[in-house]
Amino acid sequence: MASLSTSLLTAVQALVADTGALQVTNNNIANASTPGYSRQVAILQEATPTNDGSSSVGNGVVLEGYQSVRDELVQTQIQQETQSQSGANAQLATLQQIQPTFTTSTQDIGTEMSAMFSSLSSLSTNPTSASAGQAVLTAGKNLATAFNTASNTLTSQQAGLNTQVTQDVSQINQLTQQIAALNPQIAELKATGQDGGTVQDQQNQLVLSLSALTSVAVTQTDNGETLSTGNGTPLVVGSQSFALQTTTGSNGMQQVLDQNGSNITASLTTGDLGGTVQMRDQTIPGLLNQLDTLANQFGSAINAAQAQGFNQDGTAGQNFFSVPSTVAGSAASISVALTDPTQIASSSDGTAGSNGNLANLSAVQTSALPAGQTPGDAYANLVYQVGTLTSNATAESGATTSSLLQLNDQLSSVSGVSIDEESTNLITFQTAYEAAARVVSTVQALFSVTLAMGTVAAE
Amino acid sequence: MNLEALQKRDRVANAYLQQLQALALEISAAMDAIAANALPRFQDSVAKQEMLCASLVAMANTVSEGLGLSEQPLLSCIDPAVALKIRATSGAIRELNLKYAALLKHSGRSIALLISLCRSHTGQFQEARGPRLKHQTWSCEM
Repeated sequence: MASLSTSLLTAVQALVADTGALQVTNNNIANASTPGYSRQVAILQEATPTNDGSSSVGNGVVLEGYQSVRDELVQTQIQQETQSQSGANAQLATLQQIQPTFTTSTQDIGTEMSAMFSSLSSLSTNPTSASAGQAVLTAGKNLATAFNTASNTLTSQQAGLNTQVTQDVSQINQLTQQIAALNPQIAELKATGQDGGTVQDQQNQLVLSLSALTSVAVTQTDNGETLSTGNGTPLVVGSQSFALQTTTGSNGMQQVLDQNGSNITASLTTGDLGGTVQMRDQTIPGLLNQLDTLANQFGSAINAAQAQGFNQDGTAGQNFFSVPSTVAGSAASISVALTDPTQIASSSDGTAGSNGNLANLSAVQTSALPAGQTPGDAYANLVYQVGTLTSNATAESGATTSSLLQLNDQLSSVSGVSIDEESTNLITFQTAYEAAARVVSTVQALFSVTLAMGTVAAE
Repeated sequence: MNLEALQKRDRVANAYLQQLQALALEISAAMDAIAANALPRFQDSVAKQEMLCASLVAMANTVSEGLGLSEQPLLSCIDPAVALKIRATSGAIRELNLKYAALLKHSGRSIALLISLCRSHTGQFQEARGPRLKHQTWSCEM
């Protein structure tokens, strides 16, 4: 039979347990806005019952200890989303710098190209006019400058990204050192049966910062967290960190090497470093190549038209544009070769006053270049590509931001959730996602219809 | 086109614009609901989106048939200011839709992982003490 003192003891234990739980709650509230803080819960366990031989009497609850509520799965997802977000942000920041050069403005390539053909049309009405000839030369120079500016914008962005690679690697090395230094502390705490919650929180924050820079795989071992890059290059093992290095590659760009000197640049796909490398080595070279091709083929086409005619003193037309023989670098170096308006090959038969060859020069506007498109269409395609890349990066950046909000919300709500209830909710969410995905498809189809209607309406 | 037909045309064009604007708001609301894990709000928004889409598709069909009032497509001669707003709203929806699709992709992956975790779970959902033990609890399930 339970005595009064036993009952009192049970009550006291319950009180102690509740007080402990209350302390935890207070601590949680105090740290509600502390970045990386993991909410703690009090572990209440039923006290060992007293067995008097015939029956067993309960002794209430005891406070077993505290533990950090940390959903590792959500934590891992947050790290992955952070990598995606940083990669998208790195690309978006660069594309936002590039985009103004490739939109319709007063001095963009498309506008200057139109201005040049317009000036050729004016010259056609009076082929001996010095002012009309000068206008063609000026328009040609403006167009060459537009090509030069666009190319310089791309290459200067590429140079900036190259510097960013070195900075990112430096930050990665600092973070891996700090993470490695925390591993022995956590191992020591765990060895003595303590929950290394605070230190673990600190390490999680560092891993999150590292995730913002590059793709990181985290594995828990007896010696703490082992970190490696996406392709398996070790970054942290126990208390040791392995520094990444940079070296100038044959293309003049900084290459990232692991501790063995192997080049891992191409395998870096996410995080700020991945996004930076992607823009520097893939996106910008792709755009530069198209720009160079357009400059080279356009310049060559105008030069070919010049060669078919004669200038005002009856000599065969010379090159209008100076373009390199190879495509690479054409946009950066294209310039007007003619120095005098009389050198424009307006005449088709060598007689002064003839405008027969101006039609050949003007025809370049509507003729397909070797790449398969007219100069105007080729430029429009380039503008469209930059616009699409920017839109996609914007969408990806926005989506990962919302996704991170969701995951952080999930992380902060982990505890005391019924697994069945949680599972049901998740499946309902998934069903709603599927319905939403159908809406996305419908809206996509609807957009085409609406745009077509709007286009007609705007005409 | 007579006065009645003109009035009807303007009514449909304005209604179409309003529905597009409502759809843009609903897509934004759905994204906010996903970010906040607000399931009922999200379901409600998706249902509204479905209704709006169905209505817009029906209207688009009506428009393309010119309401039987004229041989010309309806929007080919509507108020240019309304047409401009329709185009601008469509552009905004396109951007939102792109972001919405990306968000569904990212969140869908998270949800799928959590579902697989719940499905493979046996016993009590209680975390072990310390991060390492907790990791072991579910890493095998992954």
